[in-house]
Amino acid sequence: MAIEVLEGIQVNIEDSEVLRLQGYRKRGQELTAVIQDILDKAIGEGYRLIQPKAIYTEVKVEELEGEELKLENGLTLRGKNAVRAWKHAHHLGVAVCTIGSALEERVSELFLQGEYPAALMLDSVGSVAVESVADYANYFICQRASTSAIRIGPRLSPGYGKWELTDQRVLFALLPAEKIGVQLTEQFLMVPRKSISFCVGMGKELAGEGIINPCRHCGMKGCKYRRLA
Amino acid sequence: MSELQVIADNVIEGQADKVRELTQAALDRGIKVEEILNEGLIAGMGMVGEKFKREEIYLPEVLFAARAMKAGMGLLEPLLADAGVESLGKIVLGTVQGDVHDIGKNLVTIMLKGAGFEVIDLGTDTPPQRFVDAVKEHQAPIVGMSALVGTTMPFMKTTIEALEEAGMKGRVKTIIGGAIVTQDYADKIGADAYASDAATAVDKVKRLLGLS
Repeated sequence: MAIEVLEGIQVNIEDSEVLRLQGYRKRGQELTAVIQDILDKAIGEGYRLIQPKAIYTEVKVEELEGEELKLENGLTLRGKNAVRAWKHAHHLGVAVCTIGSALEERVSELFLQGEYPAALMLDSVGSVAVESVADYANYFICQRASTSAIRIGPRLSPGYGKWELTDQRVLFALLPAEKIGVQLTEQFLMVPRKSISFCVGMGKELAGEGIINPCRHCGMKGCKYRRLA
Repeated sequence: MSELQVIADNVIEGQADKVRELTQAALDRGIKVEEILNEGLIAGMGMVGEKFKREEIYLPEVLFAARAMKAGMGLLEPLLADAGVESLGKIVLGTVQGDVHDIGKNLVTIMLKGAGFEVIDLGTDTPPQRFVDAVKEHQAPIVGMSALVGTTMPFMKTTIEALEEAGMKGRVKTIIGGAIVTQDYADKIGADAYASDAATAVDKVKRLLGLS
């Protein structure tokens, strides 16, 4: 399958999501005027700084063996959650998404200036923004798959739940992510930091979840960032 | 209400300009630097930490308070040495080798400074030897390490081992934290403490130094 760079990505930065990352877990929680102000400014600045990009491909699933998913080209993914979630997948959609480095550079600048509230709020804006890019890429995959009556399984990322982060090397072997400015470090971290990689299962016999809360498939129940819905 | 209590209250409210103004006024009135620091600024941040732990306030309010304290500290810092005021203790802090995440570490730095500690922040991607060298240079009794992912967490153990090989076992205590770090992991690798968030880190460091 060809490799596609997705363009014209629509990003949606929801203030409730930004606040959730700041610890405000109850929807509709009243904010002080000062905090509302930094939230609004951070979202505005976020939209100006983000450079949303994504790169995508599909890879054939050859075989499922134990806790390993063997792909074409001899690549293997290892992860109990992944294998279980994509049991009936005949392909995987693979994507790397990013918002670029300008936002995180601005966050560092703000911390150095002692503008702590603005720095942390902008960082949370960045996290929400890159999730939005991943949602867009996920939606793109769903739309494409639906034309062939193919269902999409859960979206999972290496490093979450029981899927080892080291499998990032497989995703980065499949995708020339440097085309969208994303590199993988020796410890399998992505740079820029506000980047997300993921796979989704694709198959006619999958349960067909589409875009759904990835936290449902992650075993880290105690994670403070876990989405409940 | 005392003048210093008013400073503390304004730290809690995150009023940076007011804290700066009140700190200057206190200095002008001849109140001792140490008293302004401990009973005004640090006392205020202490209350902020307690409110955060009780979930009465959240991170933005904590950071406004930290910013307000920093405004007061800007006036006090040049005077501390002459006044013979020392920090509560030194902590060498860093994100471990191979890890580039720094937000959590930055929050811990802010809270520790707010509590009166001196923090030597080594930044991110810190090899074990850098921690060892920093401890030697600054004679710090505490090392704090942050890691966000499973591939970099093992460097926490490597750093603890490097400290031991440098003869620092028992003399230097370690505290670790990060999104997927747990108390069990801390116990497994021989860390002296684990903190789940920046406010708890302050309590744990005080405990490690016998200050509480």
